[in-house]
Amino acid sequence: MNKYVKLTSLFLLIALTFIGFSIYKAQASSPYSQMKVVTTEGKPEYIEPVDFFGYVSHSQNFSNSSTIEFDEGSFTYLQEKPFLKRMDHSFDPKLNNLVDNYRTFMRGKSRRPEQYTETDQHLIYAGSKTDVDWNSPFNNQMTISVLDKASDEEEAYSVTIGSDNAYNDIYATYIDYPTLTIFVNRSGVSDTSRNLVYTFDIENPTEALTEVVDLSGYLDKNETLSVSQLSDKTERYIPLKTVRQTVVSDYDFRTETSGYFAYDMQAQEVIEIPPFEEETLLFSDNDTIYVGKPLNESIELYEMNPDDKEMTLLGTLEMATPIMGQEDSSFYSDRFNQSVTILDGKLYTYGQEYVDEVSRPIFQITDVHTQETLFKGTVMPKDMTEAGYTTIEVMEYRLDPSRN
Amino acid sequence: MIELKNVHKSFGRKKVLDGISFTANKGEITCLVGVNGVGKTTILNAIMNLTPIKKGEITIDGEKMSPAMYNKVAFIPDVAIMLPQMTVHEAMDFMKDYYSSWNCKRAKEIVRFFRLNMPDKISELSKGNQAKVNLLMGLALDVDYVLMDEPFSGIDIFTREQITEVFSSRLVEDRGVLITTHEIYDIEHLLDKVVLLDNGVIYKEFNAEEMRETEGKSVVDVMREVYNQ
Amino acid sequence: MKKSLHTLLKLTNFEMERLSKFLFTLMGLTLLLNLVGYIYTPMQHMGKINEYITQNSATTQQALDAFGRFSFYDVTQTLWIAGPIAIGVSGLLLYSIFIWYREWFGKNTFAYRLLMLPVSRMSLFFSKFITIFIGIFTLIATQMLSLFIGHPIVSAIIESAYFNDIGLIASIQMNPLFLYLFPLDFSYFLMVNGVGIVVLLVLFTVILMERSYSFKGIAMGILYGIAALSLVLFPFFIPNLLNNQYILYDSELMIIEIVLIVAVGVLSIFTSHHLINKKITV
Repeated sequence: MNKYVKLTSLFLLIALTFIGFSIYKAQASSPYSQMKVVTTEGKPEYIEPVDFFGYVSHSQNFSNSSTIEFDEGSFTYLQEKPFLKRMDHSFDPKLNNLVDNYRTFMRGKSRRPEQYTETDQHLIYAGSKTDVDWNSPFNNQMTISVLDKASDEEEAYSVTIGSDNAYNDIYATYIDYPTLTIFVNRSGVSDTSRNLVYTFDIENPTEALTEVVDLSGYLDKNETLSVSQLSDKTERYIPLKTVRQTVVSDYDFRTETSGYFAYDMQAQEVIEIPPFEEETLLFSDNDTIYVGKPLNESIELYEMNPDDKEMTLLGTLEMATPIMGQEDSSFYSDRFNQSVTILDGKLYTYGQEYVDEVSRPIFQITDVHTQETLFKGTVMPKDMTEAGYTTIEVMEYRLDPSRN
Repeated sequence: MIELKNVHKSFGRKKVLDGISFTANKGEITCLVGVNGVGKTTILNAIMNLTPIKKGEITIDGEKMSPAMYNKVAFIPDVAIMLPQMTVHEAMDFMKDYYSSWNCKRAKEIVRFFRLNMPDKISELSKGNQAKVNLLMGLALDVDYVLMDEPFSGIDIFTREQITEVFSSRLVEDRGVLITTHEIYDIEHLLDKVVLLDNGVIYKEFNAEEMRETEGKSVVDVMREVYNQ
Repeated sequence: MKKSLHTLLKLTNFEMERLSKFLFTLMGLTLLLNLVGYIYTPMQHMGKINEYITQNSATTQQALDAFGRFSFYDVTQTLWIAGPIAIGVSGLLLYSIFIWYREWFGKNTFAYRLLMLPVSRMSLFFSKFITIFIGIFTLIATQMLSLFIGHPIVSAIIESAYFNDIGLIASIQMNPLFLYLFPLDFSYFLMVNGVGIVVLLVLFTVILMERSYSFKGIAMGILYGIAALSLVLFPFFIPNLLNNQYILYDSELMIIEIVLIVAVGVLSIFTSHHLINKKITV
């Protein structure tokens, strides 16, 4: 045995150190904080359509920080998911659900949620060749795929978009079955860029997309188009904003909204929306256009008649804090209504609330017609002793219309 | 019996062995003779599966070489093959550890015979003593066959005498010995069979004693005939 | 079976004895350089703070504002930790080549003895292989132990007002270097070691090719290495070849990758088996 003394001691050194390290690690890192929804007003079931990814960090123990998902009313930490599932994970809640539910259909298709629309019977994808083939940036090829959810059958259409090759950025799609409306930013080789609206009739497919409106006329030289984040993308009106960028310095620019519009999918025309003097909120829900005027801790909400642009005051919605409804638009400049949206007559808002040194999200759901607060609340660790040092930040937020 | 059948071997384009066939029997001393570079060492290496052959077959008592056979055939190369940092004693322990055929009693006898000092480090030994250690490692194994490659090369006269003594001693009796050398004088009288190699082929294979008796020629005479042509 | 395991153990022990001096040197170097880091880095930091306080007659709070809190993580980030790891990794990588070539080009040609041992030649192969891995894990264990020693040293040198005790494990987890070395995330640890095992198997196979076919073997070895690498990297080009970036899910790509890596490992073992038994030359 003496002969093996070095080998034995090295083996013991390795085994004991690794075991010791693992035990120490297990003791040092407490399990991830269990989270709970705290309802301060209303009923907790109203928060069910909310689906978000957040980041939980502990000011006392950085190693315990992790991404958390809130889906169907319950919390799951990303680290707790199986390794292979984690690999397929995307940080967009909608896309995650699509991949989970329609894995075969989602294969080979772009990973941008803007390119998917859904009805009760169908899941529709519209993507340019460039979206999946990064080697061919300029072309006019496009695929529209329609999945029949009941039969699980997929119908794919190869169509052309425009007559010449261009970089086609499909930044929004909407469905009024069987008409698919596609918002495309076409940048030609010569660097000219146009914002166009196309349609495609799924029941009577054609070989080329039909161009219906050129939005470029609504945009000045330094303006870009921003589209509203919608939850189910079946609304008749699509809220749009033109955003002006003013260069402040070499490294900085300022953005301000220069115009408000709504695109009518049925009439295929653009309606100009008269803004309020200060700030304006613009929503659409089913067949209604809503315009909101944010006040300090409330929103004055109007319903707008698209024909005569007459505004009817629905009422004043009390907000939990001034930040609600004041969305931070710096994240994605081509989209708005990320933290405030109306879905089926309910106004959903969220914001971050800073208490002492930690930050927590607050959610509020208000009935737009009765102005009743259906839900107001936050997310906190179950163990209240952890609340003082646990920060929860919402990163990606979506509403799932099917759970509304 | 060690048997080589039609063995071919090349190094690059150079043919070293071109259809070699011969046998070396148990209880006999067979000597591979030839000038340097004719492939004597290659034959021994090939028998021990220390270099692959291109074509042909090598068997030992009808069996192909396998790890277990290293307990049956020992090879003593002409280079030092134990770790220089080992002492003679450690080298013996190493052999004992791996070879079931290692004969401790005989090993000690050989150590005495060669007057080796067990605590000496191999790296500190003279060339002659290193050669003795090599012999020790091969001869202390209870094997049926011993292969020796140039046991006399670069060795002083006294060591050479000691090694020569080995061939007539108990240490090799009953075994089959296959030896390569180009310095034939010292052992000529001990050889049973001589295989003369030239240009990768066997030029002549004969019994040394018969040759002396029938033709009155010594091995050296035959060699002279061959290589002077 | 039992006998061949015993042989493997004996040979591994023998190889371990031969590695031990080099390994103990690396362990000593790691501990020594780490220790210097544990003492020198915090003392230097305290020195700066004290100098700042004396020169500017500053308060503790002002010094904190100027320098921030010092944590053990600041030490783990220095070259005093990364240096010995780099030395250890490159040392053992070179040793993986040396472990074979010394048998032929050492003072004595020990390759004769090894290849003539009445044991399966693959046990020679595996004993060398296991020895390298024991070496790697010994150095990792040394580094782990060293960190356990270092943490109290650093916290003792830095005055508590200036010390941010984020904990040992947090300091380790924050340093990406340790993610490769320590079992912080089990799947990741398994992957890193799996890749390491296959890289070593390929390297050994390439060496055996050279030892079997000399110059021709060098070319074969290089080709084998390139082929193995291409095979393992191939899945990453599938999306490009099929002109679709999303044709495979990342998990599927991972599974293909694991299968290919294992295949390269198994192929290397079989190739080595053939070479060491049939082709190798002393």
